[in-house]
Parts: sequence; C-alpha cells; structure tokens
Amino acid sequence: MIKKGIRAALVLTVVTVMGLASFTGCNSEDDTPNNPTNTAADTEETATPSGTTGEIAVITREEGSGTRGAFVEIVDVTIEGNDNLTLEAVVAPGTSVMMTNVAENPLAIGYASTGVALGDDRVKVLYIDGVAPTVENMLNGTYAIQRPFIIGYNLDTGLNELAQDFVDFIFSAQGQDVVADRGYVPFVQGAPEYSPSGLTGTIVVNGSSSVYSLMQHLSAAYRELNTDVTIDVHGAGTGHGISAARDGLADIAMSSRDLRESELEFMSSLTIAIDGIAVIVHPDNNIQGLTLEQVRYIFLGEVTQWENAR
Amino acid sequence: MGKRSLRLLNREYAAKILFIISASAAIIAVGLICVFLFLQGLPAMWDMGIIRFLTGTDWRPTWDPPRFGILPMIVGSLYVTAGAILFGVPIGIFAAVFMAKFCPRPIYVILKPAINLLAGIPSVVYGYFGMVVLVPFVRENFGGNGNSIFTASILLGMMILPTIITISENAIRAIPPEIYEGAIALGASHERATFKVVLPAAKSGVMASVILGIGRAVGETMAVRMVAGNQAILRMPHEFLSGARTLTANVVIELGYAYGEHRAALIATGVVLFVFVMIINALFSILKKKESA
Amino acid sequence: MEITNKFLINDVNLWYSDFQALNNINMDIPEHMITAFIGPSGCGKSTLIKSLNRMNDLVEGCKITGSILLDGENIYGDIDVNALRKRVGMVFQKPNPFPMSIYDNIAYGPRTHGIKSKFVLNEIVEKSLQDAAIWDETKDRLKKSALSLSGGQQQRLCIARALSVQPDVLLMDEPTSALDPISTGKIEELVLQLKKDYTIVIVTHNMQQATRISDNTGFFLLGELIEYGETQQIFSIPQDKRCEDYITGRFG
Repeated sequence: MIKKGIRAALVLTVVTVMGLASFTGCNSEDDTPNNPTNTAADTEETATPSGTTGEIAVITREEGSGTRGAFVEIVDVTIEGNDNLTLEAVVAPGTSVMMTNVAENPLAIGYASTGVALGDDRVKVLYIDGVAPTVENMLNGTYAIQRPFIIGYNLDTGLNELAQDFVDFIFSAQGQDVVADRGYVPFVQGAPEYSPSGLTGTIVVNGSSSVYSLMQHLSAAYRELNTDVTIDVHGAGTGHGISAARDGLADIAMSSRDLRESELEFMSSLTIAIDGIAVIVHPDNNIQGLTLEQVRYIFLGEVTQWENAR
Repeated sequence: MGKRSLRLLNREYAAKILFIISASAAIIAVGLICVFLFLQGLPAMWDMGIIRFLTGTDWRPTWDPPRFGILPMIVGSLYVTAGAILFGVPIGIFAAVFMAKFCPRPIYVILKPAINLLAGIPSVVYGYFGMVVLVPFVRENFGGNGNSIFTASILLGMMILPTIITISENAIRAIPPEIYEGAIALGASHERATFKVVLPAAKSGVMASVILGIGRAVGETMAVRMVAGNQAILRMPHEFLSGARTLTANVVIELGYAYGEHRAALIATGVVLFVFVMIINALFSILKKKESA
Repeated sequence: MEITNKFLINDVNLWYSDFQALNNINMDIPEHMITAFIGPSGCGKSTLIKSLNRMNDLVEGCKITGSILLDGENIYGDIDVNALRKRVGMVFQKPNPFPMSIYDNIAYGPRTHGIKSKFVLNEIVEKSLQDAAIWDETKDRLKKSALSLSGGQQQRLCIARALSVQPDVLLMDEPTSALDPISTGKIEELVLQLKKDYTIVIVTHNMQQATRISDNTGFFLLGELIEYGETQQIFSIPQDKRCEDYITGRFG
C-alpha cells in the first residue's frame, strides 16, 4: 500500500517534470498585423448597460518609463506633481509585457503607444472623451492623450555626414510615410523627396523603447535605399539613449517625452512624430470608451470596480 | 637531458603562471564587483539612513522628494523564495530519488535530457510561459489577477528543479552501494532502503542542492518580473495571491531610467541582494565543510 | 548429537549474463555449526553465500537454476524475499554502518519489520549490542554517529545490526579482511560464541581463520565445489590435489 503510494508520487513527479519540459519548449508569438480595426466600435459610445463586472486589474509601465511619464502627466495621475498611480497596479516592465498582460486578463486596463496598441488585435483600444485615437484625431488635436516622439544628438559634436543623411531621410516624404504607416502622426507636412546618398558606415541609435519600433521601420526603409549602411537601433530607454548620445556611445538618441531643461543644454531636439497613448482593455470587455476623468480615477486607484467605471 | 628537463621546467612554470592568471581573473572580478557595489551603494545607504532604507515601506523614486524604502522588496524576495522552495524542493527530491533508484533505463534516457533541457531554457522563456499559461491559470483557479507571489513561486519552483534534481541525484548515486545492500540484507524493501537509509545518507548533498536552488531563486530576475506583478507594497503572508516586487526586479525594472539618487538607491538595493547571496553561499560552504569533516 | 541440515543446496548453477559463476553445486549446511567457504578469488564462494539470502537478485543479468532449501522450503520458490533476508542475516566484507547514530543503526531492522514501541526497541538495541560484544564500548554514546567508531567496532556493530532482526542464519562474507589482527581476533571470538544460537556461514581468504573457527569447510575452484568435509580432515588429509595445493599455499 505504502509502496504503491510512493510509486504513484514518483510517477506523478516524472509526468510533471516532463510536462514542464515540453510546455516550455514550445512558445511562439505571432506577428501582429498593422491594422487598426480593433478600436472600440465604428460609431462612438455605444456602451450597453450590462457589461463587464469585477475588480479592475490596473496594469502600468514601470517608474521612469517614457510612456508612463507621458501618461501620468497628460492624464494627471498625480498628487502635488508626483506620480500617484495606484501602487496596487501590476507593473509591466516593457511594452510587450504590457500588451500580453492586457491580452490575457479579461479585467485588465492598461496603456501603450497607439502605434503599438492599434497594431495589436489581442487588445481593445478605448475611446477617450468619445474620440478614437486615430491618426486623424491626433492631427486635429481632438484625441486627448498624445505626446511627441523626439530624436536628438549631441550639440557639441554635432551629427556626422551619414547620421545627418539618415535624419534628412526621416524628415523626407518617404520617412514621414513610414511614420504614418505605423499609425503615428507625421509631424512634418509636405516633406521633400529623399534621394539615396550612396554613403557607407554605421549609425547607432539608442533610447526610448516606445520610439524603438518606429525607428526600426525607419531604419529598414532607409537601408532599402542605402544598402551599405548598418543601423544599430537599441531601445534601452529614453534616459539611457540621452546619456549614450551625450557620452558619444550613440549618434542619435530617441525620446518619448519633451526633453528637460538640463538635457537641452547638450542635446538638440527634433520632433519626428506625434504618438498617442491608447488606453487598452481585453477584447471581451464590453466597455467602449471612458472619459479622461474616468481614466484618471481608475489609475489613481479610486475607482476599482468595472461596474463603477462608467 | 639537462636541456630537456629545463624545458619541461619552463613549461611547468608557464602553465603555473597561466593558472594563476586564470584564477586571479575570477577573484579580481568578484573583488571589483564588491568594491563597485559597496563604494556606490554604501554611501547612498548612509545618506538615506540605513535603517530607514531597510525598514522603509514606501518606494516612490520619482517623487520630489523621493522615498526609498526597500522593506517591501526584501519581504517580496523572501516570500517568493520561500514559495519556490515549497514547490520545488519536494518535487525535486522525489524526482532525484526516482532518477537514481527507480527509473527504468528507457525512461531515464528520455528524462535525463529533458531535465538538462529544463536547465538550459532561458529565463525569459520561462517568464513568457508564466505570463501566458501560469498567470491565467492562477487567476481562473485561485483568484486575484494572476500576477502574484503565488504564481512567481510556482514558476521559480519549476526553475530550480533542474538544480535540485541534478545535484540530489548525484548525491544519492554517490552513496556507496554497500549502505543500500546493508539495508536490503536486513529484509528492507527497495523503497524503505532508499527512503530511510540512502536518502538520509545523501542528506548533505541534498541540502546543498536546496541551498543552490535557493540561490538561484533569490537571484532570478527576468522570469519573476514578468509574473510577480512587481507592486512595491509590503504584503502579509495571507496576501499570497497579490503581487509583490523582489529585490532583483526592483533593480532591473528601474535601472534603465534611473539617475542620481534613484540610481544610487537601486545600487544600494543591489548591495542588499549581494549580502543575501553571500549569506546563502556561506551556508553552502558551512554545509560542505560539515560534510567533509 | 543428531545433525540437522539448515540449507540443502541441490544442483545449483548460476550465471552472470553469459558467465557461469557456479557449476552444479550440491552441499548441505548443518544447523548450529560454522561452515567456511574457501578458495582463490573468483572461485564462486562469495557468489554462493550471496545466493543463500538472494542478494544476487540485485545483480542485473543474474540467473540461477536448481534449488536451495532452507528448513525444507525452496528459497527460490514463491516466498517473501524480505522475510527470507530477515531470517538469513548478512555481514559484509567492508563494515557498512549506516551514516546515522549507533542506536538508529540497530533499530533500523526491527523498525523495518514493524516494531514501533520505544521500550521494545531499547531492549533490542541493548541485547543486540551485548550479543555482538560491543555494548560496553557504545552504551554511553548511542546517539553518536556510527561512523565515529573504529573499523573493528563498526564491524561488530554490523554484526549487532544483523542480530537485531533475530535471524536463524548469519552469513559472513570475509568479515575480517578489512580489519587489523586484534579486531580480527575479537570478531573470531564473537563468532564462536554466536555459534550456539545461529547457523553461521563464513567466506574467508584466511586459512588459519578457517581452521580456528569452522566446523566444516568447502573448497571452491572455478565455480565448482571441489572438496567439502570436516575442517580438521580437509586441512590435515585433503583428498583432492588442487585442494592440497591451495591449502599448502602452492597457489592462491
């Protein structure tokens, strides 16, 4: 009897171990299409009276993240000017963790760049004050939660010829097309055509992980025209990128917020796009939109139940 | 003849120097890390007040003025590590016993590589697995939002399995067969001889595996931060379905953005973590000494 | 005095995979006597003694034919092997105390067979240690690790451990080969005392030891039983040339 029990325990153990081994071995993430069809609805504010209930699972980015900084500032999730986002919020380090967390949890609410959120149909993007975060609405300024994407370089050393050519490309018609294609709002209207320079070499770009994905697409488009150029794009964070450019470790820094006074002393600041921050929920959540004020209360932790959120 | 022995001597000498250099590289690396951590971390801790830093329950690094209290993270690390032991150690030891004493050959040749594979899986992959499988599983079956101390404990328990299984298995196999035969000759069954004589005889090796497992659990970062929720809140033990932040997660999540005082506070967090790991290693060496004595 | 046989070994052949280690062995082992197995290394004497409590079952690829009767019952028939090993105790070549306390070493056997009472266990421990003539040396340190004892003490502890489950037979596989002469002397003395209560089978390399303690001796060579009889007779007038050569030290 005891003998059998021990045998059973052992067999169970083996099965568990083997199960783990096979489970963990087979993860793959699909590429998500760049198709902003996952906005709440085609018409505005069609919330049904009965809907999602239960405790809101607030998901936030980490302290110091550019997206969080921008979100907290624009939505005013603050107390005496300090970040007062509820401590109970799950902290998702990185955009992909944020997206997965919201996609997996029916009661979650989070936020991410519109460029990322609109392209990811695992989540639902909410209307804010009745306005969807579309390119159009950001251009005309009606969508409330938006911020600039900025690139900068060290003012003392300036840009080398190659990096300057890449910056020229970003502000050309082709470059701004890439910006628009990715769901961001092009900052320069009626930009000039770019023609390949035939330069060779390597450009290092580092900074905001929010700008990172756009910068990768810009770099890919640029290298189609200039095949002998290598561009290393790193998304180590806004602060990292700025110090890297200052210390000569990167040619171009990326920032997802306006540069600070202290940073402007040694950095140039060029806005390449406008990024909206989308408020996202699980696709099964039947809420369609929130007011900026409601978003604020949810992220302050003052509204904690979905039934009180509308 | 004389020339040859001289050459041999020279070669021996060269090898000796090479070994000394290699050995000192490791020591220098440890030394540099120590110096760097303590030089940068200790003054910061001193400025913030060591007691206030260690026992403070508020972590508000971007506030003006900032608040740096890492008690929630210390406690978070303790919970998650304790949880990992709770899940990982019994399963790990049973698995090791099975592998060493019960496993039929055909199963062993599958099981052994599977466990090695488990050890080789990068921790982000564990993290992703935790995020898409464990977090929803815990949310749906236990409650809470899934990102929790409990979830992180399960995941860490899995991650320390290979360490515990491999080292414990070796320890069990290292017990002389005469000991086992002695028990069998008294009329003990295979199970009783294994569990009551061989396993206790391998005690110190098994303990060593557990301590190494704890070391891995305390130091694990990537996977934990993906499932633990990372809230810098002091939790009570009964709140195991809520999230918590570990020391490692605290450092790695914010270091990318931190500068000035915030950065110093994170390095000080690293110092605390370092002391934790040193204590664990000291325990390990004490145990080893006891074993050889 | 009438002699009853404890073991009846009939036509036993034993293989380790393809290697035949025992070749058609037939012998009777009498009760309450000391039977010695001698012969050069690899002659099969250890293999045969391990067949008597089926320790050979642990060896992969081991196959045995024929029968070994213990008190008339075939131990290779449908029997409880653990019960057999309880009846037929064994002491090994190298002292193999468990790495636990002296007390727990002795109590392990009785506990295995279901004795839980602290009182009974205490009694068994004391009795076994006394029977193995090691009680005086250990009574004040029962909680100490058995590994703290000397080699000779460890071997006597192992004998006490074997006695703790009250066997009928004690198998001893070169029990003194790892010990110094003084410890060897103590063990031999002990074996002679145990003879009145137990049937003892001892494998030894030491010719003098066989003459000193055994009643009967079997000489083995290349898996065969060459000569078997009263010890005195074997050592004074061996019948077989090979046996004589071995005993007189011409090979070995």
